[in-house]
Amino acid sequence: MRNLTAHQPRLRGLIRCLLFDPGAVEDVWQDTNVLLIKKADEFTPGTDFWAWSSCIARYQVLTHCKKLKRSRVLFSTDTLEALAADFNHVSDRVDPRRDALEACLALLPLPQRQLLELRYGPKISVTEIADRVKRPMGSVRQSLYRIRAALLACIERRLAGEVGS
Amino acid sequence: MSDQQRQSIPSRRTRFLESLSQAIDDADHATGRSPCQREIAESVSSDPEARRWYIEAMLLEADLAGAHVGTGIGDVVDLLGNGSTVGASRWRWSRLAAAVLMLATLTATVGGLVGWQAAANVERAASLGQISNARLARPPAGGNAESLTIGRLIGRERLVIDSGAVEVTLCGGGVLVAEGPTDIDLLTDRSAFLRRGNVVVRQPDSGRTLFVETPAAVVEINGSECGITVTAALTTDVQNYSGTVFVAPGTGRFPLRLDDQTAVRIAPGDAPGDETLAFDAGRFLRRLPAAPGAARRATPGTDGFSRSFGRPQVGAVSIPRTNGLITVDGKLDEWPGEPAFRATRTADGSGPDWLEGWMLYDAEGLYVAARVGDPHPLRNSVDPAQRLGTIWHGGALQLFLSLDRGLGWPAEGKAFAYFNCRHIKPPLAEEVKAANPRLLTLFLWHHAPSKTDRLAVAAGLGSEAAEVADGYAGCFVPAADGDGYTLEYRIPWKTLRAADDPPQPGDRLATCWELHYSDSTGRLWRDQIIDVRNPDEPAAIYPFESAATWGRAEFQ
Repeated sequence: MRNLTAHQPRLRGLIRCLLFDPGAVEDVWQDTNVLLIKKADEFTPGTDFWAWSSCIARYQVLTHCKKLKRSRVLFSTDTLEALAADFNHVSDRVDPRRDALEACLALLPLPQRQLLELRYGPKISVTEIADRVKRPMGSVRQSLYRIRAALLACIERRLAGEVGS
Repeated sequence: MSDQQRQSIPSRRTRFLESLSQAIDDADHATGRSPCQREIAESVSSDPEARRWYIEAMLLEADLAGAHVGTGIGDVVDLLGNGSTVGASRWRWSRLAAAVLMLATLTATVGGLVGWQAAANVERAASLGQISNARLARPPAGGNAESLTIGRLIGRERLVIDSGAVEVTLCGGGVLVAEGPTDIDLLTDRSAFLRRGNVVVRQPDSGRTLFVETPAAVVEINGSECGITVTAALTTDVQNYSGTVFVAPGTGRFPLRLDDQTAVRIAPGDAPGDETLAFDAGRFLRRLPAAPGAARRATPGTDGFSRSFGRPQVGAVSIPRTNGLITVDGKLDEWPGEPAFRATRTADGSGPDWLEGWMLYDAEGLYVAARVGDPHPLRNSVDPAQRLGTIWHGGALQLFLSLDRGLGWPAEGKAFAYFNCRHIKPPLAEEVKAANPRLLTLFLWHHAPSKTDRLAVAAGLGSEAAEVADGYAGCFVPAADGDGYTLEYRIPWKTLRAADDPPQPGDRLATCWELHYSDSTGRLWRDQIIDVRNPDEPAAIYPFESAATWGRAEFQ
């Protein structure tokens, strides 16, 4: 259980990468966790928990994608495999990235944090945010893009050791 | 690499991220692939570098969904108007962020109620942890049996645990054990607001502090384990089991450092009177047994249904009049050889949980006796001073009794819980009926820590009003084989508020027996036997909800 808890951010990150549709991420993540708990006896302590759990997560994603209409699936199976393989190379940086993000968010101007809160808290769509704040949708999109890009840059700077960025 | 190539990389990345950002925003309402999404799919499938950018951006998405970054929308309008960028005046904003956090803490701590309401409106976002163990006595109010099942991921949400206990393992590494009745808001994977009830929190020595706010204090846990109680009076009790815990009272009073094996009570607001409490190892439930709890489903015919509502076999119990020569010693020598009824927990009568019950009466009072099969007998260690209304969690006989001779049988009256669970506002007339002081709920139990045999009585429907009784004689005796016990009680009519009009021969009143079993901890409800129940009432109603479900009590 301790392993499972420690790997939650990584598992969530992997599933988010493979499943582009955010609405499905929570369900697949939860299904993955239930399966991991059910299969806990099959895991050999001392072996690589991430290898085992990420394999189950990938399987759950593939199972989910099979249920969807073709038009709703963004990536081919080959691309999903390539993404999962690439994700393994960065998986040990998930936690440092998360810590860096925390610091970067604290540096974010209040209005930008509020926009993120609207977008990611109650998960309001861009259209709805535009309606609420009475601004063009394009303006909201652009702001979100700028915030995301700036946060990515900030995270990279912090991971590179430029603390205070 | 040429200069031209160097310059093209950032621009290619920028273009990619811009498309990706738009594709992410399109994904919310798209029924098919948007042009941006097609573009991203092509890049990711063919370009390893794009895959790396994509993974980094999607990790950010996953983390943002789990982070909380502020509230309100007022300033968003300004933002969209002036298009300010990240990094501008960062130190100024950093200080502002710190100030906002401090203000939020103070609001939640000092204002209490204000903080509660804000927290209650928080919607569920990404997962902060997971229910890693649960032992529930009854389904949560509102009938959502799924909400506290093992394995469910917990987001930023409010957990209301009516009875039993739930263990949540947080993504931040901490473990939180909440014992019902408890009401707590999980705010992040390292912070929570305890509205009422009991939690034990363990946070490994990871360098990251876990905060539990209460109406009276903020408790900081890091590399330590402590129990926290918020009482009805909004005081906060903190007991430290190991490591060091810091407790910051709410109104600028100096923070307290709590060493291991110490406890303190913090008064809310600026009320004076913080006091040192004696350390009591049994004050909190620290660990849940490994055995998982079962999901509760109210589908007739299923085990879950039987577990909730029992398998009552008997609709009436005969209560002979006695000459009063009964010695309350747990031997039952003077009682009729045959019990008034027998009941088992399982349909085929197998298993270690069984019950034989007797009732007698005379001019002075009521006599109750039982022989009980119980593999974990007489272990109730729930603190009656704190949790009398839920004393049954640790194992007890809950006896429902109508001594209203005017009401006869079936008795009438529905508890507030009946309406609450069905989302109905109770009519005033029903509230009046429920307050009938001759509708009684009795708890008979052996309190293991003090080795005393106890009685509590609630007048009117609902065990919340239970009060410690006096004037009775009670005796619990463990069975010789260790697999059960015998109980014997004499309870004066005065204690049952019926001295002025006690039952008379020929009366048909109402009673129902609910025998609660705990697990080996003596704190967590395991199962129950419900019997002497009105067969004409629908099965999916608890006896504590409706007096009409109680069986017939035939006074001879």
